[in-house]
Amino acid sequence: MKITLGEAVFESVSGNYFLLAGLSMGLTGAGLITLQSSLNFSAVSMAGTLVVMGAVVGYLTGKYHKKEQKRVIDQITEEFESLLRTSLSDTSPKGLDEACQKILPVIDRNIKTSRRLTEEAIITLSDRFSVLVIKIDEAVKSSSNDHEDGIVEMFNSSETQLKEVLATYKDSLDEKTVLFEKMRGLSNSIESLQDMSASVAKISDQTNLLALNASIEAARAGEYGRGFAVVAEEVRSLSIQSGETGNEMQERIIEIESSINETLKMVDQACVNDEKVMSGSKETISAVLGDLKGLTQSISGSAVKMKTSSKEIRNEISDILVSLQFQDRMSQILCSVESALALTCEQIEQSVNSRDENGMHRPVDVEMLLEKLEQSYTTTEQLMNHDGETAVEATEDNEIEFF
Amino acid sequence: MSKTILIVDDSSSLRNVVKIALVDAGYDVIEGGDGTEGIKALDGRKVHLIISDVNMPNMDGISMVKEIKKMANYQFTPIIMLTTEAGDDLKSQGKAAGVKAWVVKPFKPDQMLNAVSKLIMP
Repeated sequence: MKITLGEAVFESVSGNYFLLAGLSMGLTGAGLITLQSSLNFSAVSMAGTLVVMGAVVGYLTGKYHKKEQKRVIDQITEEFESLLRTSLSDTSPKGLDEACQKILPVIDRNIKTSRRLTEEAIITLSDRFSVLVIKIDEAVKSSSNDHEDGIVEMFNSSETQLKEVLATYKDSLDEKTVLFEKMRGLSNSIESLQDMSASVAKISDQTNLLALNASIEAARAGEYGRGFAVVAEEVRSLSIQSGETGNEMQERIIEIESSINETLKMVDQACVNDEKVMSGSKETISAVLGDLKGLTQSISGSAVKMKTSSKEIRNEISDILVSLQFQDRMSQILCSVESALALTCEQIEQSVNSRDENGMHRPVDVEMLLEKLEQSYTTTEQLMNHDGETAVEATEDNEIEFF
Repeated sequence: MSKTILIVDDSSSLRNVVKIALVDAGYDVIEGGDGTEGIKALDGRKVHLIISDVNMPNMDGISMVKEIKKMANYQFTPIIMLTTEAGDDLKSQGKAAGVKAWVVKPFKPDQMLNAVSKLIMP
């Protein structure tokens, strides 16, 4: 049987107090009567009656008082318990349960939304960065395979072709020089022809003189030398013709010599010009090739720089992607926070909606909540936070554990 | 012929990070978003290594490992767990299921490649 606080007080205070008091008063009266009446029968009877009456009055008074006292104590008990309930419920600020019931779900929804937004944004970022990495890879690959090699190959091909053109031109110039030398040889032959024509003229003069002497001798021989005179005349005539022919030959030879000399001069000049052109072309081609080579090297250098920069950018993006791993951890931590909030809301609701046999709200099981929270952790940071330490950001130096 | 690695993680950003590191190193990569998708992605093909998260929807990583170890074609395929979980209990469960290495996120790609080269099937 349950004993209330009021009943306990009542039991300890009342007992047979009033009965004893009545009995004591009866005894006291009986004692006084006995002392004054020297113990006669009527005095003893009166004293006995007083004792009995004292006991009866004491009992009745005690009973009445006990009933009245119980009523008062019940009232006090009720008021005390009410006060106790109020004082217990006042250990927390007023409206806290309602605040928890209404605010925690709002916080939970906001966390969910934040987590979803962050997750979507990071996934989009990550996807875009991944596409960038792939595109840079393709660009670097394509540039190193085609562009660079293509330029170097084109330069080498152009250089070879231009050198071939120069070689052909030089061959042609060499042939011209041979021709020139042959014409110079022809000029020497002309000098011989001039000597020969001079000899013909000299022979013609001598023959003429000889024919003249023969005519004189024929005339001196008279009739016998007539026929010889005809022959001498014919010889003289032939010598004159050969002399004329010799002169014509000399004139023609001089004309030919003049033409050849002019041709030689022109060819000589042409050779000089050709050599100048050749030399100039060589220099120009060399300069053009030099410029082209410089350009090629510059383009090639730029391509190398671009390739290096692209690789650096690509590596930077890869590093960013690695850093984006925080989202996964953050998402797990927020999931755990969401579960914790949901569980806390549930516990508060249960506590608000249920009372124990004393009419008190069932207390929230904080230890159980903390235990469940701890079980839901996945990261070291959460454990540190749970233990009251400030979690430092996890580094990427986690050792790999091999089994 | 390049070797094939299966990555299983519900976070596509994490899959991207691992994929880029592996493709750079010359591996072919196939993917799955959870344990069920991971098993489906195997599809009878030759897979030289599996990298998997632990906490995933539909089928978690440890359950997936147990299922894979029952498959004749993949019972000897090495498996690396890549997870935020650092608890000893889960590690023990993983080890018992047949996991070969445990990597706690965040990871460094070089470290992961080192582990991959140590464990990958010839």
